[in-house]
Amino acid sequence: MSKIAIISQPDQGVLLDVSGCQSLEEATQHLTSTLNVSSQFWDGLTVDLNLGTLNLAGHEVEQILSTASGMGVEFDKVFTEDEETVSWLSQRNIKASQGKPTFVNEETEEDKTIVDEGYETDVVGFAGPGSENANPEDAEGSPKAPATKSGAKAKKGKKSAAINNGPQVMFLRQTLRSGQTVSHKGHLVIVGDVNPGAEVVADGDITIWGALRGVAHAGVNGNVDAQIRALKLRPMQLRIAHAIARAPDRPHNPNIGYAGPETARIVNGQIRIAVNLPE
Amino acid sequence: MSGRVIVITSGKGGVGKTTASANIGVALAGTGASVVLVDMDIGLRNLDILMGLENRVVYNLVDVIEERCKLRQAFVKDKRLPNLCLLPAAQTRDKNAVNAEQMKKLCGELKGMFDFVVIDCPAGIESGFHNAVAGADEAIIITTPEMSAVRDADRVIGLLEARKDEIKEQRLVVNRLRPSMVKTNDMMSVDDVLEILSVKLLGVVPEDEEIIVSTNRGEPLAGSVNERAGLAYRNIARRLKGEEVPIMDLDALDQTWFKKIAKLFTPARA
Amino acid sequence: MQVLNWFFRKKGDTARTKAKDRMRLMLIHDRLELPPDRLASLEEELVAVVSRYFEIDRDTTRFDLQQYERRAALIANFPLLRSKC
Repeated sequence: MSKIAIISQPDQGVLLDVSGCQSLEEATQHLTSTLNVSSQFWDGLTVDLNLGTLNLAGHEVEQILSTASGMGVEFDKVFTEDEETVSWLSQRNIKASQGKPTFVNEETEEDKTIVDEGYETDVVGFAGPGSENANPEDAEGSPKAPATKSGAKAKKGKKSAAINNGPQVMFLRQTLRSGQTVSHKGHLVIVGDVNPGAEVVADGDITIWGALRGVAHAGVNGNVDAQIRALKLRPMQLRIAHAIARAPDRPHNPNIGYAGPETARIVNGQIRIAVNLPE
Repeated sequence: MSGRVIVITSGKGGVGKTTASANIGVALAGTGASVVLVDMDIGLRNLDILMGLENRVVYNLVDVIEERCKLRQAFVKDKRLPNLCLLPAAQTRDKNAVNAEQMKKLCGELKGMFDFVVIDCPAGIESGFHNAVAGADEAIIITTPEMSAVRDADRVIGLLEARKDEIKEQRLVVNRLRPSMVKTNDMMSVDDVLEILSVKLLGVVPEDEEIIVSTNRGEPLAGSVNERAGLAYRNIARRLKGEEVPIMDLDALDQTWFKKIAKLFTPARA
Repeated sequence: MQVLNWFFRKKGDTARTKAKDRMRLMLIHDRLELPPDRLASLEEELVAVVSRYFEIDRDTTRFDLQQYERRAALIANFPLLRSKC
């Protein structure tokens, strides 16, 4: 799927996986764009790097490390399949490990298929030219299509439940601005706002102690029980599993008072929003 | 069907490139042609906001390139015109997410589906610019009658001339012209700009406050009947389709009754 | 006020003509990627060469760049006083 993955590891901080890249240029480029996109995110985190089967000379490894450190990230540990790289790293007192990080091993392949299938589903209301235009009801989450889709996804839901046995919650204390994205395999808690143009994605629930004005996608692997809650729920778009709801085209009426924290969940295949009540 | 791929570019930012893209797209679609607007400003996407479609974006250009969705899934249909749709940029990626080869391939596919493929190019002349113009057959350069904008437009024209084999035609749109200021010799005229740039003129768009109003509404002006900037864009669309449309007389549009009376007391221009 | 300006302003001294003149010169240099002092040193050298053959009138020498379409042209005008041969 992607050339770079950010994977949260059990009790070990975060692993940056560039093993999907074919070359040094590609790896550096993806690393730069990832580190660039949310710089504050890396503060105080333990970050590991997986180079996979990338065959790199010493100075090339050095280039990757200095790219990262230029953006404020020092890797705690580097995984690689390449013997030379291991010896180069250990000469420089950088923790190196030959082989795959155990955590990546069991997941990436499976994860790939789940994500790919997910994206192949037709999205109601967003068809090409020539087909019927979407009416607003459709886009709010048509009862027909998403219902069947979520049924088909039930099996996948179990798999993601298994993943959730690992690290469950990622906690972030920062405001996400346009262009920033955070995704997590598990539940995601953000103390701060999610601004328009920012995106939060999680396997599980998304909870925002602040205003949600961007895009949130909970239950990304098909978990229809996932929920999205925020102190102020004014999203551009909400997605839970395969259902999509978008903001009304009319601008929000500022005269309508603040209703309090709200929760979005799937009811009968559609996303429904309710003022927050204890479950 | 083999459509035309038109890239809209300027070099300098803030001259109204994205507004022009949205309006030219709407105006072309208004003539009955099928149009796709492609936002190549990856990481700083705005075209969806101008079109009032920001909350309908699900997939984007980068999802298509990286094969996370089919091309048709990424199209966002316009709210009013059934033959117009938007291919949005990714907001959470950078300009290197799409390379020139991928862009050429994409343009080739889009040409087969639409009469016009209108590409909104990012500001600057770095990789984002080169990728955005990679698949284009024609270019529209947007400038304002200010020195900095004209200088940057000249740079872009030079860069596009180096791609003569692919980009067959370059035409200029002078945006935000204030006829009253040209008249008092406080601003360069369209002729001044053309003389300096030596490039074909496609249209002149007068400064119009309604542009801001229409942006806030998410409804490009070219769709509304009365506004003079809207008329300018509709004329541009007709010229793109090969019609001979005279450049509109901005002086006539600029004359309120007060100015008409004032004119009686001022000598004619030398 | 604008009307008054209109009467009293010298032609050729407006913001519009200023912009146009500056613009033209700037773009010629841009297009040729010409550093500002290069032209002066070229003029010196040309004058030196021509002076070997002719006596020239330095006061009325004209030496500048002009634009034709998107090309620049170097226009040099050395009024000759007499031959040195």
